[in-house]
Amino acid sequence: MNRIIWSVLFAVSATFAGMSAREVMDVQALRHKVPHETTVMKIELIDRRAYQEERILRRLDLDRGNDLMSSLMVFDAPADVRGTALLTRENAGQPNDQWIYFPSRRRLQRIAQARRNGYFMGTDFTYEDMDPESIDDYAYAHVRSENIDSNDYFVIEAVPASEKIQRASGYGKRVLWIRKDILFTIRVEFYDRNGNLMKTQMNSEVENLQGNVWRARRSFMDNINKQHQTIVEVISRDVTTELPETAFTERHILTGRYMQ
Amino acid sequence: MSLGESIRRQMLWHSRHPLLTLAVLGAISALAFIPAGRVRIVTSIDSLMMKDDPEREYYLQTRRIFGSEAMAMVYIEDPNLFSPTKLAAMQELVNELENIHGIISAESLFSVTDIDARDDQLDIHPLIGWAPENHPDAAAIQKRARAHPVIQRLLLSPDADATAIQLRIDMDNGHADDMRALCAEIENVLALHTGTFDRLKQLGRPYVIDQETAYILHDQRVIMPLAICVLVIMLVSILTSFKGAVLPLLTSGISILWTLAFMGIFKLPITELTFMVPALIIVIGSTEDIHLLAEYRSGRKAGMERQPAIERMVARLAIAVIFTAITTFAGFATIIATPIPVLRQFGIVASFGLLVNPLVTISLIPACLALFPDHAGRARSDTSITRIETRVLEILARMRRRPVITILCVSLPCIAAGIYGATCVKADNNIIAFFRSNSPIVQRADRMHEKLSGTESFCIRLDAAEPFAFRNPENLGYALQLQDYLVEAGWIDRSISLTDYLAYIHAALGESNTSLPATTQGIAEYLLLLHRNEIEPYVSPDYQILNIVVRHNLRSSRELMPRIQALREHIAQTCPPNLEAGVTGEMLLVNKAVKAIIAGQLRGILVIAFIAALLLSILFRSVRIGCIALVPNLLPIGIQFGVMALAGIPLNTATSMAAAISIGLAVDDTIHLLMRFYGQDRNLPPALAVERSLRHLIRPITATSLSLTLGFLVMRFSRFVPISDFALLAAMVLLAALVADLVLTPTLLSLKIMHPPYRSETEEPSSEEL
Repeated sequence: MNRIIWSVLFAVSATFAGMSAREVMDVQALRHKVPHETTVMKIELIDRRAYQEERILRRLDLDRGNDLMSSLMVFDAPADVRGTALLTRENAGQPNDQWIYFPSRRRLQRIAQARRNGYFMGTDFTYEDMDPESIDDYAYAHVRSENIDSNDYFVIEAVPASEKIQRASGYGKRVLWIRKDILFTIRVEFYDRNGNLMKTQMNSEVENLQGNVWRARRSFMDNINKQHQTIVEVISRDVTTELPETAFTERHILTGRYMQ
Repeated sequence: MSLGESIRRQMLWHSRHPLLTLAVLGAISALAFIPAGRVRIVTSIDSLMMKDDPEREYYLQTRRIFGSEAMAMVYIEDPNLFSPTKLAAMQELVNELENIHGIISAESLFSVTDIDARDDQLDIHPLIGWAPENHPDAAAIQKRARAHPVIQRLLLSPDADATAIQLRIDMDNGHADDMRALCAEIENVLALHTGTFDRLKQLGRPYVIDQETAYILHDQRVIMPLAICVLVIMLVSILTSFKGAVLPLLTSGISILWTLAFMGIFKLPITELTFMVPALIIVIGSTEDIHLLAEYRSGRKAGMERQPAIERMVARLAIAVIFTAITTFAGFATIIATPIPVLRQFGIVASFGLLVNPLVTISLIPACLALFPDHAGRARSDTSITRIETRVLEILARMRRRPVITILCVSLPCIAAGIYGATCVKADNNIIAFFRSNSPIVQRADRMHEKLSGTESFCIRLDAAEPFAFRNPENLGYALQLQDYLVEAGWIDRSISLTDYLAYIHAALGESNTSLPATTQGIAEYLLLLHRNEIEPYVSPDYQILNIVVRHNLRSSRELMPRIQALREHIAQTCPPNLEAGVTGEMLLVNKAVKAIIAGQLRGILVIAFIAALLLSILFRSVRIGCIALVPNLLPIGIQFGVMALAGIPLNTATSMAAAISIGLAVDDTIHLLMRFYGQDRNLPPALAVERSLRHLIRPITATSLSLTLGFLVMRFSRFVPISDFALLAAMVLLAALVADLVLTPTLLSLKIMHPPYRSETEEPSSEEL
């Protein structure tokens, strides 16, 4: 039903400019979804002395229907972390489920959902950043429009909608730059509760995947607080191969089939 | 033409061309103002290290990899530290401190990752993401913090009532001005939170540098005026004239200005040692002025006109002035050979100052005496002395009648004190030792040591041949073993390395059977849970070099260095062949310089003794006289070491200079005495010549020695402990040298061995003198 409503919305949204911030976010959330997606990416971690550490990550995403996603992230390199995995399952009206798997321990460990502000696997992305945008958890405000490099942007401010979300979040506020023509987020600024800028994420090399679906080949997270940076570069992306729902189960991981 | 003749001619030339002399001196001084204005106060820990130390490069390399272990710190103490309001204030404080330019990062309770794996749920989050809004949440945080082994005694006291914010600073740009500016900015931030916590204090490198600079400024404000007061009082009492006091002040002032210009041209900074050079110039530089003016006034009082009085002054004292200037200069110049920059800079500046001072003296004094009118004063024989002086001379004469007993009575206690002192005195070199125990810097460090860990630190660096070696459990196990050894040794407050983080995660995940994961894979997986910033100070990015940071509170070299030696021996015995281990740290390098200090002390004494003996031998054309005359000046060194041993004064950058400087100064009196004995009084019978020389010189010798002693005692008011100790020792050595010169030198002169056929270059004695 939702899809129909929003499809209608797409149709009438020849002028996105007239949309509210919440409407932009709603449209965006649906617009770039694909049913199956396998991405292999290179993660570069750069410390304050410019030393680089490289990891290869495979990410599998599955749209289970009803706007609910499952994802599995698996480290393929370096060799000593190969097989380390993070399984995320989006739940309707409930917090997401998330498990981490360490091959040496041969045990899945559930990630607590109360606080999501810990850094994900040594990157500058937090567990919170890895989740799909939970639109109901935030209040959005269209603060201004900007034109940068011949592209028009919505500049939207997102603040936690409730005290509970605020306490769980690592941010007091996020500011998103969303391209008006493709409704794709190009830049995100992360602020703490005191309004200090913590991190900046820049998505670049944006490419059209199919229809209205766009993806960035490169994502750069600049952690100003920690003077550390993370660059995510897409090596390959496949949206044609179907992924079975069983690939996103605990059993699939514990039996080691996720590595085949 | 001999050196003495040349000096005499020069002095007489200045007396005949006073206006030209003053014009030249004035012009040079006017030009000197420009470079003098460029001199800056620079204090740095580096200047206390030996510059050519091969271990320094190893330390600098370690610092490049892991950052400096020297940090700025903020100490917070409050019984309700974990209340919502205090934590909110602390978070605000951390944010404000992080925003200060020059701060690379802040390690605090807010930067610590907490890993909780209870109920099969892994909770990875900052220990305090946001300050809690209610007391139950605050209590829960406190409970988690107290259970967090990585931060214990490092960021949190066992009672959870004290914490520290460790601010990593850019030490590659650690210029003193930057450090002071950083200290001021930190203080400004702390001022915003005054009254929020029971104690909120700054510690660490910027604070130490700032305090050092403040102390230097304080000492300059106090010591310089006091030195001038002492000089004026001494001059007025000796010369019985305020006018007489002006000339020595003028020569000192010009010498100080030229010395500052020299510092400005050669970029020599005002340091914790060079700051006392102006006071030294005032005190030491004035002694020759006193001798010259006393001689001139003596001539005037004897009824001589100005120019003849000047000529007599020049004839009698020119050689003495130049030779005493050389010995004084040599005393300070011996310090230049040290490899410790702060000492070398002091040696260069002080020896330059005390080189130009006699040059200014021999130009300015004859010129001014010739140019400006004075009163001849009432006619009085220059040999007229007071009742006290008469009494002292009688006692000294009695002592000379039993020369062997006198020599033994003076020598043996000095030798005994020297032997006792040499076996007991310990060398020490540490920046905190510059501050008194009641100074804020020491009190804050002590409090931090009591509640958390000492502010002193060093590193144990482990190097492997291959990258990723420190993801290997065996190599990490060795690091853990070293840390256990340090804990068992009992003298450290805390050690921290990558192993602490891994062991923490291991335990948090419920693995209690071993301290660390058994496989490389297990370790690599744990490392995924940590952000690089957290472990950056403890392991190189390629995991080839591991760093164990050790915090302690041992500030004395004699306490620290034997323990470091024992640690090195333990490492040599236990280190696996695939690893190389080194112990390094800024303060270890500073402490290591004690060897150079001891060597410098011995070298200084030997060099100045040799130079003094050589000059005395040349001056009196007899090696025997040169060597024997030196003895009274060497014996007070024994007194110095005895006092150091009894008072527990260590040999450090400042006190190590006392002996050489004091010999250089004390030998001046010997030169004057011998010049008189072998000069004007040479044709008298030895006993009478000694008596006459003493009678003539007892007042100027006593006066100059006392003014030097008082001048050095003025420096006792320094806030720096080594400077204060140096002042005390120098004063004691000078007093002892005065006694030796009055008792021992005349006794030695009355011995036959000191009576060679000697013909002086100086004038024949007048009938009045005979």
